[in-house]
Amino acid sequence: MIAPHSRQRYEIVVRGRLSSRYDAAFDGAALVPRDGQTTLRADLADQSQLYGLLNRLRDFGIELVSVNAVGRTDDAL
Amino acid sequence: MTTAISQAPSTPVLAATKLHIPVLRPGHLHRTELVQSLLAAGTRVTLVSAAAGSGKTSLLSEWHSDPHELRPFAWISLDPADNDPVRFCDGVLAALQTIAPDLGTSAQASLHSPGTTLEDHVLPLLVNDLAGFGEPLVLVLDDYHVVEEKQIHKAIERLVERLPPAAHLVIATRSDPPMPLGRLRARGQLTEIRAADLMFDVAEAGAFLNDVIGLDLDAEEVAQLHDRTEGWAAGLQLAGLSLRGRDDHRQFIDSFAGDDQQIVDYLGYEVLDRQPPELRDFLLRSSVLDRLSGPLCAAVTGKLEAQELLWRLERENAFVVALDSKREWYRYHHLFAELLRHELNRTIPSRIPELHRRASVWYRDAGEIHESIGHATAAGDFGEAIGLITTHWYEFLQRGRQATIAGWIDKLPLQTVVEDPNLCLTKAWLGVNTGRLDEVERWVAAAGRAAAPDEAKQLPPLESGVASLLAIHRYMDGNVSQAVSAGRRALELERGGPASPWRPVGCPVLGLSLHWHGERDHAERTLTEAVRIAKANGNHLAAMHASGGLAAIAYDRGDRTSAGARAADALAIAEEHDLGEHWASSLSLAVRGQLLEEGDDLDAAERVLLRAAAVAERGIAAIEIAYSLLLLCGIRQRLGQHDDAQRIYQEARSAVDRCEDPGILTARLERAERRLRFAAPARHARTVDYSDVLSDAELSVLRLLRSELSQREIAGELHLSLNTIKTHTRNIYRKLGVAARAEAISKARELSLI
Repeated sequence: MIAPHSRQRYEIVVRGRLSSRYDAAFDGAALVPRDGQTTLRADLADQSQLYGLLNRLRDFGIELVSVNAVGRTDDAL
Repeated sequence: MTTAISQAPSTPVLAATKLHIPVLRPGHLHRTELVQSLLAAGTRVTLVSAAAGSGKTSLLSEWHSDPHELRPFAWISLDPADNDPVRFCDGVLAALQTIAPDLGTSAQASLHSPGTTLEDHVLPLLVNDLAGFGEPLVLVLDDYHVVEEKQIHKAIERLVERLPPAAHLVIATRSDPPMPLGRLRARGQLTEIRAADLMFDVAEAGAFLNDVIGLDLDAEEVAQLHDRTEGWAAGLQLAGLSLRGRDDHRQFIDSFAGDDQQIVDYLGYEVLDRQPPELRDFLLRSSVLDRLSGPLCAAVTGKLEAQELLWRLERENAFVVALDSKREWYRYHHLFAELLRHELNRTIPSRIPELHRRASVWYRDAGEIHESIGHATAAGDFGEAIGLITTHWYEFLQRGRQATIAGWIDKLPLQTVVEDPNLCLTKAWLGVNTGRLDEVERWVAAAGRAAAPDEAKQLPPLESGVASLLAIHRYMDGNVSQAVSAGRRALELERGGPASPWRPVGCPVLGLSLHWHGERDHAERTLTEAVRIAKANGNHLAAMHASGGLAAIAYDRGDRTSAGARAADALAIAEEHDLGEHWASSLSLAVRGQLLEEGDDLDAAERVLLRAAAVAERGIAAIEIAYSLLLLCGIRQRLGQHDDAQRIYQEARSAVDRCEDPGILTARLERAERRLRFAAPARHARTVDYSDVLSDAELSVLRLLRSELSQREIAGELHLSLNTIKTHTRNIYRKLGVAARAEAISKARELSLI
């Protein structure tokens, strides 16, 4: 029922290195640890999905460093 | 099919755990300085805002138990289900009632009526109740970050503005609440405890690790751990648990301090992985539960010794928080619960549905329907969820819990919902109750489509259910002839078959429609039957509404005794079941008002009729609004308030105009108009006790009407919408019997209202 639509790619940087245990934890975000931080790369449908993900990070006690929109992906789901 | 339209849902056990003030553990690390600052704060509000695991709840609990704190605390631990405004408010009132059993009762009475909103109706009453209570108290809203519902945020924002001086509000949250905190800060009305305040300093960290956890660390080791965790309570707690039972402290601390892995990731899994397999398995499986009790955990995990395990976890100061003083209910520390759930998901995802299924069964048997539905849905067991919703939605609806019911249905896949005729009808009902008639139409049609392919599926109840709903829809819409034909069709469809579950609600509406349609005898028979069915089903709302209809018929027939008795019946039901603010109580008030008027007690009659009109306006049934307004118009005229009567007549007329077929009201409207045309102009106005009549919200608008502010500016000042201000202003004018702002002010001065 959901029409294919483009998604926004976000890069969310959090403090601390996250292990591969968290691979599936945050909306399928890919985890890239570097220099004591981890970048979560996620393709999200909209802002409310983004806020949901940020809340989830918050509930894991994870400290947020930055959030950036880095481009669109136009592939269907 | 039977509907369990039984008693109102009672969840005493779980409800009580939400109000329990967490007890400090023996050996808790005291945060004396922070507690001192809380004790000394003379502000209206305290905000404790910091990350999960910072020790917010412990701090508040220590404050509560401090001997210098003399005020009683009302405490509620919020959870996501509290996004239903009615449930939220029920919880807050229940918390306040742990201080004084009758605190907040007038707010409570208004809470369960559709058409009331937290902000405009319940909150002003709550503020009055608190002011009337007069004693100092502290209200704690813990875990406020779970609240997303805007209505609740608005209501809390207003509560903060209008809090009586003796009451102090505490909000503990992981994210700052959406309210103008800057303004509170600027006015010095806000005490804030934030993440940095909650961080342990080195000395505290040492005291915690060595004295509370019982380790024997030297200053350097403590400093290393403090440095690495930055004094974060959960980090120190996890570090302490990791170190307990280890000999290689130094080595462990060195490698932890030298690593840049996120703290919970590093320590949480370290602690979890070191548990014996049996316990680890128990922790993972029980993590699907928001609250834990021995029997529930035993049912879900299959471990008979669940109760002992919970007690052991509590004794060892690990992972769990007690939710009552009887050691029955616990929950995991929020942060740890997240970790367990994630690990469960990662390692044995295929087991999760079965765990939820067991939880659903346990909760169902325990009578905790909301939890049972949630777990059935999480298990993907939609058939079970639908069965529970179909059986129980109506009892929740009677308590005003529309948002909860909508939440259940919205969590199911849309396809499942549109394929189930009963769910479609439930959605339609929600539309009726919230006045969304477009939604009603859509869902009634969907119910019809869903029923078609499966003819064996209890056809009579469903078809008659659709017809009953249509009848109600038409009635609300003000089309009495169509309401009558839909209602009759509903009854015909049931002939010879089982009675539809919709009948207790459809029957009163058919009776009332017949009455307005001018078929008095049929109406009386149908309503008599409606009262019987409704009482047999424990449907108080329907019984009250139908009794009101019978009262109106008896009155029209000239049988004053019976009219009085029927109205008294209805109002007794209203009183007993908190339905006094529901629009369906308007009819019986209208009859009582007319009887008073005949007895020449005009002031009392005016008050009762004004109330009849006020409650009718909360609903959307234009017919009942018009009826009560016409009566109010009549009495204002008798009181010599000619202009006022004229204005009310216009309102009644526009209500009648909204009806597609207003039945006998057309004639009544004409009669009122004739009476007005030939009436003598006002001679003298009689006094009425306006302080009862103007609501708290209206009084605050009235005060601002004195100023130069425009309505839009008044709206801004009171944080209300322009429309709300207009409605209040209109009501003020009507109640004061004036036509303009200046007149309202002088009248209000005359009556010492401002």
